[in-house]
Amino acid sequence: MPAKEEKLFLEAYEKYGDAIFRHCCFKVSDRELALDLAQETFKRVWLEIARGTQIVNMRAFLYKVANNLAVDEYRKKKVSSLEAATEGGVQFASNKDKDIGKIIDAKTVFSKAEQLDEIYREAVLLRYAEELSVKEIAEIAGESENVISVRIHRGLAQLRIILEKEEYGPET
Amino acid sequence: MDQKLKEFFQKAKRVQMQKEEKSLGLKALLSYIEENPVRFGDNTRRQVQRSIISDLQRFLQLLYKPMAVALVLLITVAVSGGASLAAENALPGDILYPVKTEVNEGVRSFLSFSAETRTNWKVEQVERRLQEAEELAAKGKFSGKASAELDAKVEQHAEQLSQMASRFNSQGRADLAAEIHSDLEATFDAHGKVLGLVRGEVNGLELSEFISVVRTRATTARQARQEAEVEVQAQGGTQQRQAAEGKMSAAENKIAEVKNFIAAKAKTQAETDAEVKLQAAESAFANGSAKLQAGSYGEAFVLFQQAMRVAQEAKAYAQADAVLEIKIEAGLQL
Repeated sequence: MPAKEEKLFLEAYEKYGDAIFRHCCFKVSDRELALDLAQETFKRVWLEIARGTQIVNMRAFLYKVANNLAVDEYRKKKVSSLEAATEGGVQFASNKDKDIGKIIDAKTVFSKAEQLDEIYREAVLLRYAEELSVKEIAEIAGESENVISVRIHRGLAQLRIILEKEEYGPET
Repeated sequence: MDQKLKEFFQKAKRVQMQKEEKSLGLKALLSYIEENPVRFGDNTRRQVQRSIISDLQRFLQLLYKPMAVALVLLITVAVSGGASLAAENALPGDILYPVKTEVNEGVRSFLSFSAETRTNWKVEQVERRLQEAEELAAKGKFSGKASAELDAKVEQHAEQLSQMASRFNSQGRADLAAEIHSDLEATFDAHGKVLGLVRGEVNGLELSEFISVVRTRATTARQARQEAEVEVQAQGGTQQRQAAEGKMSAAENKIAEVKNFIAAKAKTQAETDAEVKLQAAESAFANGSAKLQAGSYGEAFVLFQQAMRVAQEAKAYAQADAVLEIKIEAGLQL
């Protein structure tokens, strides 16, 4: 099995790179920082692979590493809140014409997401946007499956209220 | 799940890296993998791994030809520094000119990591092309072919810079976007004037056309800069203050840099326009500092930026004075 590790790793980047970046975006509310964190996440994971660590669930492992890095980032300096990011004009996509739709989407999504409690936000996004299993989310968050199920349930209820409260976005 | 929730998650999923960001990330990871190879397993396996990696590299070379060329040539340059050094003074039409633009500059582009060094270097590349036009014109060798080649390169750099500027804008950093436009404006403005002076000595339709394109570019950059400055002025207090303070130290550095440059290059002639310009830059800087202290951050930002532009022009004049031996008189109006 030649170069199996590299191949798997690069495939993982291809497959999960955007999702990890997105996860970091929701965590740190700063696009540039999220890019750095996502990149750093993959580097750390590669180092583990190179050391011979057997990674059973690559996807969950990536999220776990990203979470740890985001926590480090919190400790290093107080990261701006999602609110500051959306209101202060930090946008989450480029302003090329074809991306305008994306910016609007990102803005509305972020303005809703920031109203969710952080633990709920992570749980519902991982469950329904990324379609991870409850078991995987539990592994990532370091909680029991029960706790995660409750978070998803409450998070959805919260989100439903948030979405009901105002019209969804400029498009709909 | 109801429709609104579904829609929300679908939209959340669309938050993604840009294509370019993703490929840059991949490239960085590939070199990281190579620097940190798998440390277990036997030798045969290691060798196969290496060949797979180099296959990938080769594939990437197709995707990023200029970058890959730069990589390969980085080594070439290290080995044959002489040719690359000689190429530094090459002009369009010279045998070594491609070495200058592809090899030497490719290496520098490759080595520019931060957004700031990348944009500064891009502006410098525009400046180098315009200086080449000046030298060619001064030697009476400004042909239609050279004009087309230089303008195509300027266009390419300017386009990349405008993309960088819009990226900064979308990230809420109108101040950085303003800086790009301002630098370009100063460059096109100053070199347009220098080229105009050269034309006074040599005639040529090609040169006239080239100059009018440069002047149009200066106007475009000026408009974009003014728009970006309006953006900066519309920002919140803290952000504006940071932008103004950042700009202040940038302007300070720029003025010092140009001062040194003029001191090193200037001939003993009386006050040149470069020096007059530099004084103007210093006075704009002083005005900016006053505004900053008064808490008018938006205005301070604009003034510091103006100081940088004027200093940049002073540098272009000193350069013209030294290289082309064209004396630029004080108070020159063009």
